[in-house]
Amino acid sequence: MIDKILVAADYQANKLIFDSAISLAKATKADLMLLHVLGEDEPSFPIMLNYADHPVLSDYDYELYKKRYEDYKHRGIKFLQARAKEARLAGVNTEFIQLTGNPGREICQLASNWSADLILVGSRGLKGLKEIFLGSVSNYVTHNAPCSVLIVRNDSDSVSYSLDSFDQEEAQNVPESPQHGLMSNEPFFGS
Amino acid sequence: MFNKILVAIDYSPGSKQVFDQALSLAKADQGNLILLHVLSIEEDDPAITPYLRQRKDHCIHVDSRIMRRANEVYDQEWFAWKQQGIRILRHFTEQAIAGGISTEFSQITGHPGSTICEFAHSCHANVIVIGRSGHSGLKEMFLGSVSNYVIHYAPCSILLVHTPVLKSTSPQSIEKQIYA
Repeated sequence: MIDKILVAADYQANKLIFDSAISLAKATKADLMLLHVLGEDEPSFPIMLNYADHPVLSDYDYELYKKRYEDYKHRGIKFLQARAKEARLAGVNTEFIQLTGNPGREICQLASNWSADLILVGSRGLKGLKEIFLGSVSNYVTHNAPCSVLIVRNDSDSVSYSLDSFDQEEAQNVPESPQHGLMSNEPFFGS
Repeated sequence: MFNKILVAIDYSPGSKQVFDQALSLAKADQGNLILLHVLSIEEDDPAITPYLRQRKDHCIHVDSRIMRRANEVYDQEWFAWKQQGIRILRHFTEQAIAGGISTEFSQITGHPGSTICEFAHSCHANVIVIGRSGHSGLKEMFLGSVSNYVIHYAPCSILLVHTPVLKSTSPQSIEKQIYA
């Protein structure tokens, strides 16, 4: 019935999503695809420094931005690798992919290209005005998906991966971390 | 992971797919199924007779005999409609129990969205399985979308099953698809 499961994963994604994805895939012998969309909505997305009255981008700022963006991308891949490893250890056939664009649209497009049977998404739990302005990825996906959708709702007591804890975990596992000493001790707006 | 699975069933051909997915989920996680059918006149349910729809409440008439007769007919229609729902629920329950899943069912009258959410809350369901008919745009705005209500107000995870709307569905063909 369910042969291909697409998991839309981001940093704020609840641990519950991966746990349920793995257990579901194990039980139905399905393939997993982990997807991370690099989108401006994500809190860790780097911000380009530019000034309204001075539209010239300095080389330094651009370099800084590029570095931060690479770092951000790299972290996303590391995150996906770690989750994929977990899933493979559980005996599930797992792939991962990182795309750029509007998260909702990318998720639906990949689901139809890869002919997924089920999409797993988390819910940020935004309500009312917040939802209208910030937009809801899960809402877009539920209205436009070509297949079934499982929305995994955060329980209050469940654990989520925060960026900090992920970094600690990484620091233990990977000795050589990407070089970003340039801005690590500097204030962000201090050029 | 998903031990208690609430399945929202209605009188539409998609119910079969909804139930099948819920059953496979229950088998995967050794969960219990709870089947729920919500009776609501406002629904776009082909099993509702025109008479029921016309008299959303009971008939009021000056002549007491006419009024009594009309209300009797109303009750009969209502009863028949209820029975139809229970028959579907029984059918699915038997199928699930035959598959080794412990299952119960229940039928409630009320606004579908809020009833499903409240029921999920009170029976501590881990996941709600519900069909998505795929009305979009204006149609969704006017017909209202039960699944959309449930997505926004549910206390737990939701499995939306994609059940595209089939054109020209007669009651017979729906019956055939449900009991297939």
